Amino acid sequence: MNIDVGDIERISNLIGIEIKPEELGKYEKELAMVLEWVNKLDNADISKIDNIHDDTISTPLRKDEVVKSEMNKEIVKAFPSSEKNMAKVKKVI
Amino acid sequence: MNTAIKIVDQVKTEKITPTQVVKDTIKDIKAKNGEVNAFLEIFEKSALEQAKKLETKISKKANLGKLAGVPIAIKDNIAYKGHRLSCGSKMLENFVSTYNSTVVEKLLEEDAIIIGRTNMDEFAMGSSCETSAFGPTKNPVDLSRVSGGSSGGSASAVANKMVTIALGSDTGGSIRQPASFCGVIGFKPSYGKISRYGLVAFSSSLDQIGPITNNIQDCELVSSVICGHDTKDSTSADVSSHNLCEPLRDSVEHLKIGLVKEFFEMDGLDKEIKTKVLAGVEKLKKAGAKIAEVSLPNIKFSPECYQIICSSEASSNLSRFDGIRYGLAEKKSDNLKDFYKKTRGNFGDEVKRRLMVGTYSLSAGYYDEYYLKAKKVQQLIKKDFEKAFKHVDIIITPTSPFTAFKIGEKIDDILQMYLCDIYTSSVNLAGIGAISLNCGYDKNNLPIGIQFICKKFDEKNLLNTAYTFEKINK
Repeated sequence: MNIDVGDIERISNLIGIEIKPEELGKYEKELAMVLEWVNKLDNADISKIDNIHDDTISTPLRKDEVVKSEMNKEIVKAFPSSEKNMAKVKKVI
Repeated sequence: MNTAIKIVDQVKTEKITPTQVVKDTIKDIKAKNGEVNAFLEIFEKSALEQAKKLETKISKKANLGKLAGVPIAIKDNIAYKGHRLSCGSKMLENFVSTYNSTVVEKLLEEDAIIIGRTNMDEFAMGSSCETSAFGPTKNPVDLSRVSGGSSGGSASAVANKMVTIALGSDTGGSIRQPASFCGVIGFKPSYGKISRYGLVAFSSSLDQIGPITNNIQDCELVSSVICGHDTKDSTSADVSSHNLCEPLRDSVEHLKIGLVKEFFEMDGLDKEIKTKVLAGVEKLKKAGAKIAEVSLPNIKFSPECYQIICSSEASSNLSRFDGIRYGLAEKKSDNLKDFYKKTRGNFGDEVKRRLMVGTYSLSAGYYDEYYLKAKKVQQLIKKDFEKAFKHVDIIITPTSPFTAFKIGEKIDDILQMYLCDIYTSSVNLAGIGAISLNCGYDKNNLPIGIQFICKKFDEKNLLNTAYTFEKINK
């Protein structure tokens, strides 16, 4: 599998994870190795599989009704940074 | 040996007070934990409060629950309101759960006592408990060896007799493999049998909570409490009966057992394990079971198929750890994107790797080649099992191709580590149930696990078979 440092930069940007420049080579090698390994799946005959969903399972739905949650305060308390009952974030632009 | 059933009996007959049970357990955990690092935290205060509450109930002659006074450990990814939950990660080191998971609610309703949280591979990604940010959990059978993973803390705690019951979670073998390495019982019920509400998601379509215990009766007892439909988990199965098998039946007459040809012929299966597992099968045959060979031709693709699916789902699930709503936040950053990257840079190596594999598999241009292909192979594996279960009731395999390895031995060999799941991940991919029990020891005196697999929601048959095996294997 052809993976280069540019791929690692692109993927880490997509995931939103900082990868230090000195680690790029390590992840390049490891990702290439894992992708090469999973290529074994090419040997499986999937020509007759057209549905990837499990039709034997149904999703039981909840009643469409308002349920009062008591945990709002707890959730706000868990925010690493908050102001006026809202999560505070860094500037976007 | 103490069992959960004995504790319940002693508490109900007032031979021992719940406070005494809790105090003894805490003393025991504190004495043993330094050696194995199975517990990340003991919930001393709340456990003693819970015991006091139970004593009030006893003094009022109120009806006591099925797990009255039993201290139970939970894996560090199961929410218990007001208690820390870290998923073995620096990212959630100081996070406190804001609500109870359904399993914890159910345990508390039956008067169990949640005694503490156990160590695990970071976000359940690993097979040795070595990727935990808080150090590896050691195997009490041999302290130089891993406990297995990812529910290594739970397996080690039960094997080390610190608790009689610990909950784990199993995405590709994370309950069964550590149970096998530590010589205890690990049960992964069919997908949907136990609510995942309050379990931190790794791979939502494969994750399943289950117990680790020292005997099948305790396993059945706790499973009967925590299983059942839950409206808070839309993937929880709404099957008419979730009763397991009270009372357990120790008979395998009329039972048809399937041996998977491909599994026993696989390269890398330790010869001693093969011999011991087949000897176990022979014992069941003598007890009246019929043995047949079954073929699961696509099973050989399960480790690769599993890695793609679980990594893809993880890359989506773990996007919630952004440092804004909870968990670690890197304050020294200039803007939001920089903040995300620096904060999320604190994930461990294995987590980062899987997020990369998953994101790559789902990204434009590669989706068909990786994720879609893996989902199609998953269907082949499911169909293989469906076909096999038309001829047999239970399928038997080894739980792991090798016994517990040395700490540090495989941590840098990524693909070797992924192969730990070779006998277990297909069960999660097919959404069916399985259990691992000890079936003997190798020349180094390390436990060997035998795995029983059942068709979807046939846990009754599974536990009865395991109960029979437990009796005849003594």
